[in-house]
Amino acid sequence: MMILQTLGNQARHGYSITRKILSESEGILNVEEGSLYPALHRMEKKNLVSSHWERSENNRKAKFYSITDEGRVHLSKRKTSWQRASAAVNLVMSGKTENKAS
Amino acid sequence: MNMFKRILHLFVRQDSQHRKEIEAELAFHLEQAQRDYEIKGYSIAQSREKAHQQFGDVQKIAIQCLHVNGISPLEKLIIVALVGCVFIGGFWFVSSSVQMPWEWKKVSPFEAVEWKQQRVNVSVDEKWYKLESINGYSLSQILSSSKRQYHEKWKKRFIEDIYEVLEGLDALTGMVVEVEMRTTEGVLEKKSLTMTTEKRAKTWLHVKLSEPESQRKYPHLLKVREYTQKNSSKEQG
Repeated sequence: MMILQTLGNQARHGYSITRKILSESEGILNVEEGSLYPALHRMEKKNLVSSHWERSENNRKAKFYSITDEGRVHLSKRKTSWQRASAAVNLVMSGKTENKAS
Repeated sequence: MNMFKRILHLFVRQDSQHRKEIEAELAFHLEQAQRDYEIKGYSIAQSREKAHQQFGDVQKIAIQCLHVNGISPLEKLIIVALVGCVFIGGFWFVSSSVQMPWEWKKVSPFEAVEWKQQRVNVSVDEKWYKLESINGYSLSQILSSSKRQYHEKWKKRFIEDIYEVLEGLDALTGMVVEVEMRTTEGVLEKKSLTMTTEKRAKTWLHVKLSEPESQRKYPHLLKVREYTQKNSSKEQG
């Protein structure tokens, strides 16, 4: 979901995706960067992203990924369900429902 | 065989192309990460180490990517097994429905042949006859031809490879031969007999069973056949 989100506005190569996730999460989501690639390849196979090779900002050949229409639909669905799930978890963790009941 | 090679080539080519792309992609990532660490002030060696540390096991990740893109080892195994089954099945089908070039001459019109001094007795429909002629060629003509063609092996060839003996004499018109035979009572009979592999196999077995036990080439097989033949004759009795 996060990968698709980073590709929402522009095509990016793998390294750029990891930098974007790291910066957007303010350095919290600092996971093993390599694990991104099998995920990207799986998404490409499912036609959620497409890829092409082009020159990067430092003139090196890199594989760039873009989100597909199918990917956008998928992202929108996942976002909705994530928002609902995280809201539910937040409710439980805040203890508001417990206070109301008592 | 050519088709098999082509399939293998397809697998290898597909794999190598994907592998190259994945390697290039991962190498690019590591280079970028290393460069960023260098900008932050780390030495080249430190930057490389940090980039690899942050990335994880490159080989493992490359293999994972390869499996996502390409055909997995299990799928390959299944495809190879299927192709193998098709080849084996095809070969079995062809070999069972079509006589192979080396097989089609292994035929005989008789179920057994026995040598009794200058006489040749043949078994047809489980009945013994004295052979007189085949397709108008007298027995002596056929035997002379066999001697000319096969020298010291003329008897064996006559019994086991009668098709080739008759072919050498130009006495064949097809797989059916006109045979003149005399019954044990001396009555001359003329029969049209089809030459088959089954009859030839019976002839071969009869010859082998007639050999002294010490000279038998396939003693175990023949003992089994002997045993089953005895049993079946007991049952019939």
